[in-house]
Amino acid sequence: MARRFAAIAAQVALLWFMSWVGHESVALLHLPLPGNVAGLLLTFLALLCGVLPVRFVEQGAGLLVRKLPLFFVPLAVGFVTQGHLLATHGFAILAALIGSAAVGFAVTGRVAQFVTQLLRNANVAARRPHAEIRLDRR
Amino acid sequence: MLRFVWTVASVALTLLAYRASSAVHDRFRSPLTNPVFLAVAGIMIIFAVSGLDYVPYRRGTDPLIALLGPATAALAIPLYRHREIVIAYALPAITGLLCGAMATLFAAVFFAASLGLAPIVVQSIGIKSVTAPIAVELAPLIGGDPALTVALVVATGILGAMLGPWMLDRAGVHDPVARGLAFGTVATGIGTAQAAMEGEIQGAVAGVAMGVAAVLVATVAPVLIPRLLHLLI
Repeated sequence: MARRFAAIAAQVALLWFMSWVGHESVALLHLPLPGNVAGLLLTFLALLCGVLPVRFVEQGAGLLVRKLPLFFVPLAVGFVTQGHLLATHGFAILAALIGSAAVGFAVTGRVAQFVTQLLRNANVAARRPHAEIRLDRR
Repeated sequence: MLRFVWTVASVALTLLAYRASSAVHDRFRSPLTNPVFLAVAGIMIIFAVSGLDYVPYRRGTDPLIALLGPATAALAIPLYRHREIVIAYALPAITGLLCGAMATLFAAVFFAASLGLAPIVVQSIGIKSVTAPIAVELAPLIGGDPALTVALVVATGILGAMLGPWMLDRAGVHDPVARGLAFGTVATGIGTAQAAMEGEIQGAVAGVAMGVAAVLVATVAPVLIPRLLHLLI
C-alpha cells in the first residue's frame, strides 16, 4: 500500500516535471502554445523515442487521467462570478453551443467517413488487377 | 494559518462534492448526472445560498489546479498506447479532425457574434471544444476568460454527450472510428466517456482525437480568433 502510494507519487512528480519543462520551453522560445500542451507533446516524444519507458509513468498517469474531470471543478465553479451573464445571455450562449456542436459532429463524422470510404475504394481498385492476374494463371 | 484552513476546507469540499456526484452518476447513469456538472452545480449552490466569497475557495483549490499540468502530460500515455490505431486511421482521422475542429470553432464564433454576445464571450466560446486543462491556459492568450471558458467546455461536453449520438445518427455517421473522432473533437472529456460507452474503438479514438484537436486548436487559435473577431464585430 505504502509502496504503491510512493510509486504513484513519484510518477505524478515525474509527469509534473515533464509539464514544467513544457512550460519553461514555451516561455523561453516564445511559442504561441499552452505550456501543458508542450508538456503533453514532450512526454509523447519521450515515450516514442524510448527515453521514458511507459512503466515509469503509467500508474501515475492512469490515476491522473481517471481523475482529470475533478481538477477542473474549481475552475468551472468560477462561473459563479459570471452569474449575471448566464441570467441575461444564457439562451444565446446555449444556442451557440448547440448549433456549433451540431456543425462539429456532422463535419468531423462525415469527412472522416468519406475519406475512409475513399481509401477503401482505392485499395479495392489497387487490388483488382492483382486478382485478375491470379485468375489468368489458373 | 487562515490560508491553510481555507486550502484544506476548499480541497475537502471539492473532493466531497465530486465523490457524492460520482456516486449519484453510478446509480443513475445519464449525461445529466455527469459528475462534473453535478459537483459544480452543488458547490455553486452552496456559494449562492451562503453568500460566501468565491475568491478564497479558488485560491484554496490551487493544489488541485496545480495537478492540471501533469494530468495533461498524462494524456500522452493513452495516445502512445493507441498509436497503432492512430497510424492505421491516420489520413481519414486527421482530415476529419482538421475540418471538424475548424468547423465547430468557426460556427461557435459566428453564432456567438451574430447573437450579439460580448467579445469576451465570443473569444471564450471559440475554444469551447478544447479539453479543459488546455483551454484554461489558452483562454488568456486569445483574450478569453478562463473561468467562463471552463464552464463553456463543460457545458459543451454535457450537451455533446446528450445530443451527440442523435446528431451523428441524423448526419448518417455510422463508422465507429468516425463517431469516436467526432465525440473527442467536439465534446472533449465528457464526450470521450460517452464514446467509450458506445464501444471500445469509439472510446480510444475519442481520447486521442481530444488530445490532437486540443493541440491543433491551441496552435492556430491565438492567431485565428482575434482576426475572426475583428472581421465579425
